[in-house]
Amino acid sequence: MTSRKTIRWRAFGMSILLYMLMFTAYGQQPKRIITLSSALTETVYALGMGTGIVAVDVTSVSPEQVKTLPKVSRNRSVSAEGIVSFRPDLVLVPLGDMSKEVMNHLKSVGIRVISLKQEYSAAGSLAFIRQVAAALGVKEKGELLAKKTEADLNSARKKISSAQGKIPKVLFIYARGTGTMSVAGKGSSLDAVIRLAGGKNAIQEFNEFKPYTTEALVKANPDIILMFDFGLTSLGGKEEMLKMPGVGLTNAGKNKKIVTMDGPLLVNFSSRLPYAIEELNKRLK
Amino acid sequence: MKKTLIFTGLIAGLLLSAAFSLGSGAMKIPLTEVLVILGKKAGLFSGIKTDPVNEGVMYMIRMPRVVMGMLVGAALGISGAAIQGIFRNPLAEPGLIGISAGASLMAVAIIAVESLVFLGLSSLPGYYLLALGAFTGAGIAAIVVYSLSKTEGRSNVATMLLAGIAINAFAGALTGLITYLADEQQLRTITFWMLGSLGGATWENVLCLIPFVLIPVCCLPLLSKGLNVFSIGESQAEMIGLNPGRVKAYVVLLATMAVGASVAVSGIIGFVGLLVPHTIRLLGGVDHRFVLPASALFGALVLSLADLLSRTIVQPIELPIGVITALLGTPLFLYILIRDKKKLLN
Repeated sequence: MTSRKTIRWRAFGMSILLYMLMFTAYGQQPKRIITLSSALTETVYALGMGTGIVAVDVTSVSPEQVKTLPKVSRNRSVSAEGIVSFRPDLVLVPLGDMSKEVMNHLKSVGIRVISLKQEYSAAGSLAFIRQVAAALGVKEKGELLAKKTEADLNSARKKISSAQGKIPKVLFIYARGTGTMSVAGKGSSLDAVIRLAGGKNAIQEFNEFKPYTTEALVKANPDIILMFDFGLTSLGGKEEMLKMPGVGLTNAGKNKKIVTMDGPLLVNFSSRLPYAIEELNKRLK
Repeated sequence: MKKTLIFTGLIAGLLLSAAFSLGSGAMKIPLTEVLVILGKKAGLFSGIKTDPVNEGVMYMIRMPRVVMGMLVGAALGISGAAIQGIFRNPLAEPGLIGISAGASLMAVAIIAVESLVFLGLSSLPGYYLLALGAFTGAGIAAIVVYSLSKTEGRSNVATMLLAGIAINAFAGALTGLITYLADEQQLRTITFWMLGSLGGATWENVLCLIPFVLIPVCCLPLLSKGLNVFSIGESQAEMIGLNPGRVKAYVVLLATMAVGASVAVSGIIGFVGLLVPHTIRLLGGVDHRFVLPASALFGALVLSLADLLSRTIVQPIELPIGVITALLGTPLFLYILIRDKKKLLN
């Protein structure tokens, strides 16, 4: 038997609970955001919420306004207290980039941490936009941006496929000086963006990134070598790159086809993907 | 008298450094608020309002970190002193002779198989598993180095250091192999072990660390008489009626226990086991009854200060703590080498 009093208390409790649920689910939009990848930063800006960002990770360099913001990480090692000191109410992080300990620390002081998985495909970028928008509490804006990106993407891909000639073999080389060089295999973000831009990854033997070797380069014999801007600079520019052992033996080396692109744009896989593949496609011709 | 003074100084320093560490960091918390928050936990100042975020940072982030720093420092300090006693050699440092590398190899191997067997390593049983694994790795490395370094019953410095190099290289190679095979997420966890950091401190892993550190810290000083006799020579120890084999076994067991668990929670933090006991010996002599407990205290002090530096110099980013301890430790190591060059060669 339940007395009237308990019923009233239960109703009261339920309404509090409901109120709290509403608050967290649809609730307020975050006012102080920290984004821990360049794609996340760019997407938050594209959703018009960029002014709420108070700090970013070291890879976030675009849009221009980000450059003045404080950086809270170096090489993925994020310290909990470094983040808390900005008093954020939302931290967006790529799935798996933050250790569980740091994540628990942040949650224990009441900071919302959302890990987002980014799939490297056309559909993946639309899903990513929607996820970020949901995390920010601006689902409608997210839907609009996703629709717009989808339309842009379709027209970009149509343009690319209609002008498609011979499919070039593209090798992506990541470099930070001659000592640290690796190439992109299947399943990597670069593999996906090359395919979307009308090329074919010259590496089909392995997944993800593997260290660069001269023999692998010669064997892959790419028509085009693709690099990040800073990657080519770190090797001393195009002329130096062409002089590297083995490069002269490839089609790319013979035709001096070494092209570069802005790193964050190339692996954005969000609202800038249509622009990225069009730009890359121009360079592949 | 002098020793009492040193102990008092160390304890006072430790308390001061704890208070200072709790108050400083990327998050600015004024000292008065630190005191109020601490008092609140003890039931005082319940009327005063404090910022809940500051309170959270204090309890959940800084306090476990400061406690872990002291535990790891005490563990590295005392086990460094004890191992140097067993090897009868001031250069025997857990990191140098491969004990830490053995521990980290096991830790890395456990992380690598984590995804295969679905262990939740970020839970209390997970931390225990990691600590026990690292302990085993440390123990194996210690036994191998010790048996290699002994020629005709006497331990030889050159072979000890060379055996250490060999074990470090071997463990390094295997760790490298695992890193090459690991996926990106495992890689991130593994990289953490290479650099050494107290940033992952939570009350859970502190709880796991406590027995692994307190048992050696309490029990090793009980063996200090044995270690004192040992320093004269093994055969002499036997003549007095001491069982050198047993003393050795206990010391190695306790020291590797402390080092292994420390490595499991904080990665390899080098040179503390060298820096600390040596400074203590310079200050107050070589008697193990003094050196062992003083090394534990001084190790705790050194590591908590090093961690304070690591998280305040370039805030909000952190510097790896191993960078700081190595910067402090290597000059001392070179100093010992130069001073004892002749003695070490023989």
